[in-house]
Amino acid sequence: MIKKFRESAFSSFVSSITIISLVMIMSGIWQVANAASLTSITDTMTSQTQNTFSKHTIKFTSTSAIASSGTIVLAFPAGYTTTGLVIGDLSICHGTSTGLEVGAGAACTSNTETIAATNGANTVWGATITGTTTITFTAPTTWAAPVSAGFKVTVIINDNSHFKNPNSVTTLNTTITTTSDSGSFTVPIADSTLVGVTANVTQTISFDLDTSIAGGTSGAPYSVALGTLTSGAVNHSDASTINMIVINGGTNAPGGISVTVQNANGANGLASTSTPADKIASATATMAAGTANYGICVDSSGSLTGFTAQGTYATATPCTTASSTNHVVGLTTTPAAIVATTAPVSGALAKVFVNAAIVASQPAHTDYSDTLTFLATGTF
Amino acid sequence: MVIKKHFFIKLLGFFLLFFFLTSIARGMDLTSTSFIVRDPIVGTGGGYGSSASFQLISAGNTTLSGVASSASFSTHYGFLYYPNPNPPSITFDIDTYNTSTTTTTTVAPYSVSLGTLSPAAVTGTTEGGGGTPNGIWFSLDANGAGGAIVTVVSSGGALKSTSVPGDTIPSATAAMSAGTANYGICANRNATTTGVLNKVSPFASTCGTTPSSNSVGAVTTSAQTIYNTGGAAVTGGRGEIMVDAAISNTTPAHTDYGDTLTFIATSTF
Repeated sequence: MIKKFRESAFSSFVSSITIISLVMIMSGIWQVANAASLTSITDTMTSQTQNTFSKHTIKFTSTSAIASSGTIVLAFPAGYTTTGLVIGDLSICHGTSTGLEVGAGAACTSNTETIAATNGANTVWGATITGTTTITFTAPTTWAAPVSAGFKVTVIINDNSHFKNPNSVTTLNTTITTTSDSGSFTVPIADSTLVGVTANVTQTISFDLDTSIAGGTSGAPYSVALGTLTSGAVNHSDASTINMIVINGGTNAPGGISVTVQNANGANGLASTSTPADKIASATATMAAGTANYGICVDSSGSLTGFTAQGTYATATPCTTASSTNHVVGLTTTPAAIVATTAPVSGALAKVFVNAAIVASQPAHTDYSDTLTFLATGTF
Repeated sequence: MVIKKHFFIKLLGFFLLFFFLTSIARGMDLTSTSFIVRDPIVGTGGGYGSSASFQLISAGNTTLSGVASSASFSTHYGFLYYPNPNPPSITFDIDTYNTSTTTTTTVAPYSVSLGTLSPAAVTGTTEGGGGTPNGIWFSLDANGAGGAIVTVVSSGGALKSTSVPGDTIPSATAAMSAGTANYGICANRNATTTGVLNKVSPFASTCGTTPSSNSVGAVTTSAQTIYNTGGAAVTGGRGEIMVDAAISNTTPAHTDYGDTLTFIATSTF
């Protein structure tokens, strides 16, 4: 009887121990220790040239969750110069897809967290920089948006003047250790990864005159024969019998091209070769039959291409091949700007009409003439 | 008899349970203000011995083990630890030269001088070398499991005059054409020992021996990938980048057009 009792008691004891052990295991009191590797670790730099500053954008996928007050430690190797590096140079973002969904820093899509020396409730990361190259982030306490397993984390060292590459060609391995996981990444430092590209563009300028009835091209010598003048009409470039002057120009001068005109006789205008005192004067005025005058104007009917009329020529309107009352500009022996551009131009064109009228008492001569000189200047 | 049978079954179950219980390591970090010992377990035995011709690392009955580190040390207690035989690595180097070879190495500073540009022709790198502008080459080795990329950033997004920064030869993704102002780069020859080196759009269009036949990708002030390794490791990677430029009749005359291209190699570990 006693023997049976002892056996039964021991059996019950074993049963009890077994049950209690099962309960303890299932309750998680004894937990299996576990550590995993971070994945998809990258460091995108802005410079991999030795002895230069670089921004670092470090991304990784956290295999395990990072809970409230969890830590992320970046241990950079010796070689970097981090003078002046402060937590204000740091950003940290995290999220399920890009790793930038939420965090502390301008790079985060939702910049609702902050970084301080010590972590705080809900959204305040703590960050410390120890030694010269170890950065430790501590997640907020009672974290509103903790990093779940599989989430992506982005750490950015923002400032380009506080994190300098070593002054040698090398490769640098940095370790990342979170509360549960670890990993590392390597970056290359080269003598230089910059390539300077250079080129030059030679100065060019083209300038050509034509004299023709309808504005087509011609060769030298260039001339405008006004024909026989009468007091009953104004003779002018008319696209039928009397030539016009065509100015063509082009340049890659950054300041464009300017064309000037001057005449041989100045205000004396058309002067008789045999009797120089006899002249058809040149003055800025509206042409009229029976009123002596000689001058030129820039076509205002729309043919001006690329050029802009300058000075008095810009206001001397109308000026057309069909008008006997063109407003002309008086000529001078000093160059006066007639057309110009302010930037490089190709295929610029301007038509200039020559006009003359006489009074009834104009001395008769067959040799009234003038010479117009056009000059082009590029502003390089 | 039945009671004995039941008794031995229970006893067997208890010992089985005890066996598995004792196999489970209990991890709890040991911390102080200056270090953390992660997942430690305690053991006995182990040591290190060496002579001129051998090294011996031994471990005893390890019932406690773990990794400890601080800013100045790391240690692995109570178990055999071997450094990663294949640690993360990446090497990257630039060369610029104008010969027809593919493996020439040069040193910094790296430059491509396009010389005097003319509206009558496209100027750029050719495969034949021989006095033409330098081509850009890079060497890349990376063992990141996620592969590597090479990116390019332009300082100005164009060839800019230093004296008149507003005067530029713009950069656009397009086929090069004489008389049409444009500046860009394209990916040309590439080779590897292991793995692949892929050209990436917009730099992967026609790019070869004749600048006037090239279609270039626009360079920008943001990083753009020009080559990748297809998401896998690469050894002996060698890639070529050609530079082309053309001007129009109205491209402002300057002797100081320039741009700086910054190349970055990034591996995913």
